[in-house]
Amino acid sequence: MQKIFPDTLGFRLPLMVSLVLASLIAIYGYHGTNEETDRALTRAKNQAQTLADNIATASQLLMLDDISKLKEFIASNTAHPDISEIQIYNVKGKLLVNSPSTAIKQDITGKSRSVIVNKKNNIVIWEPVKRKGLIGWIKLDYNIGKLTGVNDAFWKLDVFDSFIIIFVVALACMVALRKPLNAIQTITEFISSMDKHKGMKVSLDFKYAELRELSNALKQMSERLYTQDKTIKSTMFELEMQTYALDQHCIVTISNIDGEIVYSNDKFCDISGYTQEELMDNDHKLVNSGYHSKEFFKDMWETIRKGRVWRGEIRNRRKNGSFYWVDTTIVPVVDKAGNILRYVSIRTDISNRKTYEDQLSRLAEFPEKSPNLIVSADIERGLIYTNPAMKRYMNELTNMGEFPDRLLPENFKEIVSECINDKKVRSNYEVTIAGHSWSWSFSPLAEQDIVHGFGTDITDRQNFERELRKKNDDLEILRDNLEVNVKERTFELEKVNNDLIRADRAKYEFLATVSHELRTPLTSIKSFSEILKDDLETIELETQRKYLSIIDKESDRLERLISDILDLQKMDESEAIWRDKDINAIDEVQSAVESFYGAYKDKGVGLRTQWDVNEVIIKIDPDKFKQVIINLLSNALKFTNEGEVVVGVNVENVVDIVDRGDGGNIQVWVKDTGIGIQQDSTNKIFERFIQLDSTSTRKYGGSGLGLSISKDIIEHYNGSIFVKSEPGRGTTFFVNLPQHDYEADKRREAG
Amino acid sequence: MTPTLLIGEDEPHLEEILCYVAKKLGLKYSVARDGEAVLEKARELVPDLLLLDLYMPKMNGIDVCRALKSDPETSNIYIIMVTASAKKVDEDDARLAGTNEFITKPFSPTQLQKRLNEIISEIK
Repeated sequence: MQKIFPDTLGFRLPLMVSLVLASLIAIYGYHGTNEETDRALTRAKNQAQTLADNIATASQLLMLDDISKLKEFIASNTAHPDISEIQIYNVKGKLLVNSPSTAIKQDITGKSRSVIVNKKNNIVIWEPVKRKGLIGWIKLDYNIGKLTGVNDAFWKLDVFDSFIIIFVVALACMVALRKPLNAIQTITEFISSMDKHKGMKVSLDFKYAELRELSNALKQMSERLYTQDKTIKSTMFELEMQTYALDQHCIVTISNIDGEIVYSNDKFCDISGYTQEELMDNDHKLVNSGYHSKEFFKDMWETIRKGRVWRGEIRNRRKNGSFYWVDTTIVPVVDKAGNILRYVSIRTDISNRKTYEDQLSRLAEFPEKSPNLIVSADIERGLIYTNPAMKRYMNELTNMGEFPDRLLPENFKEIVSECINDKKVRSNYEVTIAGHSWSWSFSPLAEQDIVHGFGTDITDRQNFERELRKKNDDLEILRDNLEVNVKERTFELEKVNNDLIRADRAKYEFLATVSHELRTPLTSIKSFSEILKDDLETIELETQRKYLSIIDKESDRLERLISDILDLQKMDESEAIWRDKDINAIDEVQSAVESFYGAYKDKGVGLRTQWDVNEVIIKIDPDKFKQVIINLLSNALKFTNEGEVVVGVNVENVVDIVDRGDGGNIQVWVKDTGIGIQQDSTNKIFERFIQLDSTSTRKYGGSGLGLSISKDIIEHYNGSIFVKSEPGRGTTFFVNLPQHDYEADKRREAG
Repeated sequence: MTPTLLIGEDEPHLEEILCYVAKKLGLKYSVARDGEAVLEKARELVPDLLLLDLYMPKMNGIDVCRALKSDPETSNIYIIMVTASAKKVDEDDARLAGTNEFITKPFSPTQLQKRLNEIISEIK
């Protein structure tokens, strides 16, 4: 439609005007024709009514009984050219008269009197027939076909004229409207072009494009205005709220260019402890704490006087003298010309923050100042923080040509990833490098994949421990040594103790033996003396002599025993007197043997000597030398019951245990065929006070001191005495003596 | 009946002294010079008294004493142990072996004679 009929006002308006004009013409024409028709219709109606009345009257008269008369009457009336149909019904609905007979029978139930005009063709009238009540109905159909024919004629005449008029008028309108409409369009385009960039789409469905454009533009404008208005309002509101919030949150003061307070909010009063009145027209110096330098405030004033915003943290003093910290922003309010009008100070109480900051800064100083090694690490990057101590040691290592990594435990990376994975603390990783020992511990940081490592210098501790360990080791060694020493000493002491015990026991045995040996001759002496004294008269002279002889012998025995004991004592205490001189050893041995011939003969034991030389000179105390030989002969006699004892002297082929050199050896030996000595006892027999078997020794008498004394004498001359024995076969005692070195004597004398 | 005495002594001089004392007391006495001989003679003779030297060859006085005291035949022999020993242990051993008396050398023959006389009286 729009394509066929342009929707511009220039086209539509003329069209509308033409249409309206045409309509007016049509309505006027129609209206005039209708009035004619209505009048004709009213006339026809009246005629039909009248006819119906007439027929009703006739029917009333005829009581509807005389149908033939009725038909007749109707026949005469239906001759009227406009009557098309007459029907008469009795009250029961029976069609009495039907003209023409082709007319359709109607149902009369509930019928009322009516006149129905069917505009195009006919008028239908129903007329009741009454005579003392309803007796029947008359239907009359009146034809009005002529009336409509008048209207049709009119239309044919009028439409053609109207079209011509419309066309002319429309054309005139279009010509007349063209200029103003173009102007409107231009303006509209201009307005809308102003906001095109906003892309605002307006879809007001005006029929006219100009108006639509215009309205769109206007709408856009109004919307823009609305939005701006809203923005301004909300900005205003927000500003109000912000100002309120600012007032609630911040400490706000406004001062004039001289710094005098012209406005302060309640917060300022609250924090400073001053009232509004006290603050008003006063200077901010009122709250100066004296903490900041003059330069600090000088800088502040210089900044704000230049119209720049100054920001800083200031410590202020309350009225009561206590301090508080504020984060201060001072904004100079400047007019267009650049003149400063006011200074607005906005402050926030940061006292708590300052406290925390102090604490934090102290905390933050910890790793920075710590002499311990502190590192942070994660899996991806490895080390992400090293404290100065760590850096220092790492540098030292680098300078030494070492890898700085060696400050950390070898498996540092694994430790870090394990720590991060299981969030567990690990400790006691020891690292020793460049003379320092470190003990590392690692702790994961909760919620972060970072591990902190702490390395403590344990060098001193380790040194201390090492020293301690060393000392401990030393102590252990000492203890071990001590133990060994103690053991050795104990062993020695035990040995000494055993020796002492043995010596003590030997001494006891010796004393008992001495006692026994002393008592035995003493008993004889005492007994025979007593007998002689008491019974001298009754005893024969011969017996008396015998008894006296016994007393004499036993006295000798006693004397010898005492002498032995004294000798031993002297040698023990080095008090023996040695009267050395050159003697012929053969002579001395011979002399000793001779002194024993009697004793041997008495016991029936043989005694002989055996040597090849007649003279063997040795330098020795002759009495001591002889004592040794006598001891050996006495000993041999004691333990030999049969056989013989042979005494020999060798100068060559000396059998010795120790070769003493120094001019060779002289050997004297005494060989018996006695009971012999067990091999393990051959050394024991020379020990002092020791006797092999007390009981058996008693049997053979003697003090048991002879061998011991002999050994002492021989050893005095650097000789040796030893024994070879076969139990049951016999014993041989050997005495080896070094031959005196006369050449040495001569040299000494010459020297 | 004359009391009998056995003398067990290896030292000839002491034996002579003891014999002298026995003679003076008018005892019937016998002599043995080693332990075994003493034991043999004591069993054979069963004397009233036995003067027994503690240290004797072959068998010491204590063993002889113990043997005699443990034998009912000889347990009634009055045994006097005579010794030159000064050791207490010897006396203790002798007492344990059952010796009746213990005489230490040197002794006085007169005193011994007196004591033997007393014993003989007691036995009788």
